[in-house]
Amino acid sequence: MKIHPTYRVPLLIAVLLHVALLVAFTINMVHTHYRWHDISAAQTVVQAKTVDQKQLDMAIKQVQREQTAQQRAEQNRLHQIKQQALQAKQERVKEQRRLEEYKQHQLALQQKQAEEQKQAEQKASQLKQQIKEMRLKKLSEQQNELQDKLLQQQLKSDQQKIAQQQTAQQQKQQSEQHAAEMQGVLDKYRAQIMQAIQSNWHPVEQNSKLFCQILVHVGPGGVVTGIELIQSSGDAVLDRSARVAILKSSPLPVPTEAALFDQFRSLRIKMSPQEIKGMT
Amino acid sequence: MNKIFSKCLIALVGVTLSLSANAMIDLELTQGVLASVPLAVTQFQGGEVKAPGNQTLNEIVNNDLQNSGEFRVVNQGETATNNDAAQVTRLRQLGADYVLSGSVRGLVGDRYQVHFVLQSLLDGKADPNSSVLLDGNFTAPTRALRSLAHRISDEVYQKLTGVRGVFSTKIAYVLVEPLGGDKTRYQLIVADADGFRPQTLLTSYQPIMSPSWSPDARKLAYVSFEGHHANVFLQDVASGQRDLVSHAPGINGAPAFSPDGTKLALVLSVTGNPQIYLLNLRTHQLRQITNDWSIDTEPSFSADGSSLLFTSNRDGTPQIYQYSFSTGAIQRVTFDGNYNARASFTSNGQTIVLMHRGDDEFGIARFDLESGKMQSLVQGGMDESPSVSPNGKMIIYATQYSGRGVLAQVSTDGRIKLRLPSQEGAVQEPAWSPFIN
Repeated sequence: MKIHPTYRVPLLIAVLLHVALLVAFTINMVHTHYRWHDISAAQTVVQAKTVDQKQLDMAIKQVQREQTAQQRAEQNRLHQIKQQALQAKQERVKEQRRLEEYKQHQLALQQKQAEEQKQAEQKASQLKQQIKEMRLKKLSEQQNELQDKLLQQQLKSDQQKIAQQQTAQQQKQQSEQHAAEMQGVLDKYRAQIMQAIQSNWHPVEQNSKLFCQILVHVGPGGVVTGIELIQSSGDAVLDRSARVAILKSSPLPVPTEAALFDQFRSLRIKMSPQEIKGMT
Repeated sequence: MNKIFSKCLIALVGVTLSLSANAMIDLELTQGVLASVPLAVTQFQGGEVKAPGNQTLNEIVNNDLQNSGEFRVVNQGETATNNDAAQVTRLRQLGADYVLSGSVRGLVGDRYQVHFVLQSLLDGKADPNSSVLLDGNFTAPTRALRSLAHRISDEVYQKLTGVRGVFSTKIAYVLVEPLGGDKTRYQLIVADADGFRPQTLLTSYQPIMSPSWSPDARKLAYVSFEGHHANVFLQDVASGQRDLVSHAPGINGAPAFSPDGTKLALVLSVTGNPQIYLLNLRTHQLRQITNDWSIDTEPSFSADGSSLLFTSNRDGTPQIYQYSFSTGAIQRVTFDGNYNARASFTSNGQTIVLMHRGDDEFGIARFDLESGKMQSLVQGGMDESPSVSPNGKMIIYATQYSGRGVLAQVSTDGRIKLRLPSQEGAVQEPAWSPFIN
C-alpha cells in the first residue's frame, strides 16, 4: 500500500499517538487491575488455612461474589477498554475523518489548484488564442494589404503590359520598318562596295568556272586592314587580281554610323570573272 | 512580368541572331572591268647604259610592257629613290599598283650586273616582305642587255598576268624596197618582237614569201622566187645555212611546220591546181592531203598536230576548212563573210585568227570554234597575213600606213592596237616565232 508522502508524517504521528494512547490506557488498567488482583490473591491464600463449610460457603460465596465482582470489574474493565477502544476507534475514525477531511481539503486544494492552473492555462490559451487571433487578424490585414498592393501592382502591370504591348507593337512595326530601312541601307552600302571593287577589278581572263573567296577586314572609315584568301581559285593571277581590286578600293564605302559600320567589319567576297566589261 | 521578360529575351536573342547573321556580309562579284595593270617603272640606278638599239634598259622594258597592252606604265622616267613610304605614296597617287625598280652595275670587262625588283604598292603596308613579287639578278655583256631587258619584261608579264611573255620572241618578215626602175630588193629579216635588232637572213631581187618558223624557232621555211620559180627553202636562223626542200613543178608555197617539227605542210600544184601536201623532212616523202578541183592553200597545224586548217574556194568564195588526220575528213569552218583566209590556231586551240572580209573591208578577225562567233579585231581594208604570238595574246599583221606597208599588232581581245616602228620600204608577211628557250 502506497502512502502519499504528504500523509506519511501525519499517519506516523497518528499511529504513534494511537500506540501511545493504547499503551497509556493499558498501563493504567494493568496497574489498577494488578493492585486489586494482588489483594484478592493474598486474601485467598490466608483464607485457605482456616476453612469451614460455612466459612467455605461463605468464602465460596465471598469468592463467588468476589468473582462476580471481579467479573463485573472485568466486564467493566472490558467495557471500559471497549469504551476506550471505541473511543480510540472513534478517535481514530475522527482522526481518519480528519485525515479524510485533510485529504479532502488537500484534494480540494489540489483540485482548486488544478482548476486554478486550468483556469490559468485556459486564460493563457485564451490569451494565446487572442494573440493568435490578433496575429492572424494582423496577418490577414497584412495579407489583405499585400493583396491590395499586389492587385494594384497587377493592375498597374496590366496597364503597363498593355502599354508595353502597344509600344512593343509600335516598336515591332517601327523595328520592322526600321529593319526594312536598315536592309535597304545595308543593300545600298553592299551595292556601293560591290561597285567600288568591281570597277577596280581587272581580271585577265574571263572564266566563269573560276572563283576565289576573300575575307576582308575593314576598319572605321572603310580602310581595309586585312585580306585573307579563304579559297584560292587555283589561279595565282586571278587571286591577286581580286586581292588588288579590294586593296585598291580601300577605303571602302562603308557606313559611317558606328552601329551600321559594325556589320561591315568583315566582308566575305566571292569573286568569279564570269564577265569582263570591255572585253570583245 | 515573366512573359514580358521572356518576350524581351526572345526579341533580344532574335536581334542578336540577326546581328550575328549579318556580322559577316557576303558579296559576290561576277564582273570585272577590262583594264591594263597600272605599273610604275622607276629609273634603274646606273641605268644610263645603252643596250643595242641605242636604248636603255628602262626604255626597252617600258616599251615592252606598255606595248603588250596588259600594262599601263604610269611614270616613265621616274627617278628611283629608295622605296620609301613617300615614294610609295607618290606612286600610288599616280595610280600605280606595282613598281618595277632596278640597278645596273658595271663589272670588269664589258659586263654588267643587273638587279631588278617587282613590288606591289598595295600590299606593302601590311607586310613589306609580301610586297616583293620578283627579285632577280643577272650578269650580261653589253650586246646581251637588250635580251636581258626583254627577259625582265617577260618575268614581270608572267608574274602579273599569269601568261608567259613574248618579249624575247622574234618576228620574221619580208622587207620590200623598190630600188628604182624594175628593180626591187627583197629581204628576209628576223627581229626582236618589238621590231628592234633586225637581222637579214636573205637578200633577193626576186620575191620572198610566207616565212614560217620551225617549232624550236631555229629554222625558217620560206618561199623564194629566186631563179623565177617558187621554191621552198629551209634556213637555219643562227648559221644562215639553208636547204631547198621543195622544188616541184609549178607552185611550191605556203610552208607550215608540224608541231613536232618533223613535217612540213605545203602547197603544190603538180596536179594542176594548188593542193595541200605533207612533206616528211627526214624521209622527204610527200603525201597529198587534199585532192579536188579547187584551190587549197595556206595550211596551218593545230597545236596537237591532229588537224590542219586551210583556205579553199571549193564552195565559191575563200573559206576556212579543217582537215582531220585521223579521219581524213574535211569540214568547213567559216560561213561568216565572203572572204576568210590565212587562218591559224591560237595557243588555246579554241580560237582561230584569220583574214576576214565581212560586208566591206578586209580585216583581221578572231573566230571562236565552239560558239562559231566571228569577232572582227581590226578592219583597215589592207590588213593581211595575221600571225599569232606563241602565248596567243597578240597578232602581228601587215597593213598599210601612209601608203607604205607596215607591221601592226592587235591583241586577240581586240583591245590593243599598235604599229611597229617602220623602216624604209614596205614590210610584208610577218611571222611570229615560237617561244625561244
